[in-house]
Amino acid sequence: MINPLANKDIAIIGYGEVKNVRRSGRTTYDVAAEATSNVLEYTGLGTKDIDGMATVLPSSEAGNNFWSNYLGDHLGLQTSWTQTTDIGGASMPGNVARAAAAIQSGYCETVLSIAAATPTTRRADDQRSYRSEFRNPTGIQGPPGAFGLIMHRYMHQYDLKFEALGKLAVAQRNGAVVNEYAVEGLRKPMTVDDYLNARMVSTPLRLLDSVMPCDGANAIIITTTERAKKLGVKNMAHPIAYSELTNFNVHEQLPDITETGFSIAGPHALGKAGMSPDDIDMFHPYDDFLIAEMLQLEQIGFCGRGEGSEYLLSTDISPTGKLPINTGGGQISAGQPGLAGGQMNIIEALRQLFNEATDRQVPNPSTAMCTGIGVIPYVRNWGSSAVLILERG
Amino acid sequence: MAEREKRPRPAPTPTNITQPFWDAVNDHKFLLQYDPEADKYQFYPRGISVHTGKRNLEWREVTGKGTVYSYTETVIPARGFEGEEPYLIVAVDLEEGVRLMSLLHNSATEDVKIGMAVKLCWDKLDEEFEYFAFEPDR
Repeated sequence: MINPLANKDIAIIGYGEVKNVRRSGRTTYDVAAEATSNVLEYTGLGTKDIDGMATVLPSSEAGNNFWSNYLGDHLGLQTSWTQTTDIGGASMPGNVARAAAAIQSGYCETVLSIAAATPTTRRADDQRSYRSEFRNPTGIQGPPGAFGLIMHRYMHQYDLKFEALGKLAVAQRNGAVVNEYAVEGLRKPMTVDDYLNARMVSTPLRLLDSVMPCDGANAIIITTTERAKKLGVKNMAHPIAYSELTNFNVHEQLPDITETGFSIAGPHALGKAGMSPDDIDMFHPYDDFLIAEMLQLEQIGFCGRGEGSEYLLSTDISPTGKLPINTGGGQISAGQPGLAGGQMNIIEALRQLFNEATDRQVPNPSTAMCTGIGVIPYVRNWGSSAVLILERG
Repeated sequence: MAEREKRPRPAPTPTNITQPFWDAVNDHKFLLQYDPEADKYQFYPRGISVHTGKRNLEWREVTGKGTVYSYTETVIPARGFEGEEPYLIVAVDLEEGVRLMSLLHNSATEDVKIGMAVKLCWDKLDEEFEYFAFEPDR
């Protein structure tokens, strides 16, 4: 299996983020500027040290077909490699691999990978294809409705224990309480009973299965390990394996909607890294809904199919446990700043690998798995699955 | 929570690909794209066969009979469905081997079961437009 990241010649040398806020009234450019300024300060670099930029197309700027140009111009970046990725929540882990490939190919040396979105201030997206004809007129409640269908099917095929999802919700909430970047209104402790008694949105999916939209931004800087050493950076983490799959099972007209691309991308990424799930010190999955995390645990291989409930109930998933999960609250408890939410888990993994997570620090972690999920196709499970494995440098 | 203001139910905007499909729906007929080389159907309508990559697709009228693959009861309504909650959405596997999604009518929530037989029925969206839905096939 070819793994272009095996030599650990690529390094992520810093992170910067913006507090998640609902209806901030700010532009996408302004939150991007704050995240950029923060990551430059963290690394000690200036804008002239950056020669590559990767980003995601957010709903707040989706009508702008020069998004990369405008964003780089606003930030004062002159770049020889520029990339907007639009596979939803899989875009930002995807951009780590894309930036690494661009750096290894000599197109650039130091990449700002930035995600910014202000969907609770402005939305400019217009998704056609099947959506306007075959989704919106049916009355299905968007993503919660799609995941309601997935959950009922999962319950038909396997055993789903809502207490297990409640335990996951509580563990993540504990992270958000001590995460100063989380949406302020979510920084209150909750119990498993709070989850079980939460209002239904689209059965059997509850309000507390779901993310809360907000505005926000975050950024990381990716360069060569050689340059990182020359710069004398205080911390670095290497991306050591990546796998991505888009439009899983598209040829099948009657797919099993409990199955996702992680059943392929998960084992691929682990195989490239020469790892088993036991080698992963902490798991930072993309979490639009709690059940999505359970499906990832099963399909990446942390447990068997249908064993997600038992696995969650029998495993300590707190920062000091066997498999810490989304220690900063994830998107479900820290808020989902649109598609910028797809890099929050990478930021949290870096904070942990750099031993900077203070009250929620995982004891001395050396590896992390981060994932991304993108789009919900017509009556299917999600369309894009991305798996990124990081190792402390 | 304050009652949400009722907005119009979204109507589909037919495209050059889907115009024959919606014309048929308005005549209470259901057409699927059929790939004669693969001997398979597909849904939603596309400009290419996902089975062979060819554009040799034919429209074929189908019975609209199928079984419930999964379901969800919508408690917080989608745009245009304010005041109609709770209502049921089903994913349905048609006999022809494609999966559709729409409203389920004439069924109590506790009666919906995965695997139950359903058939197509029709909703009037406005004076011009109809949409497909399902009801139990008893």
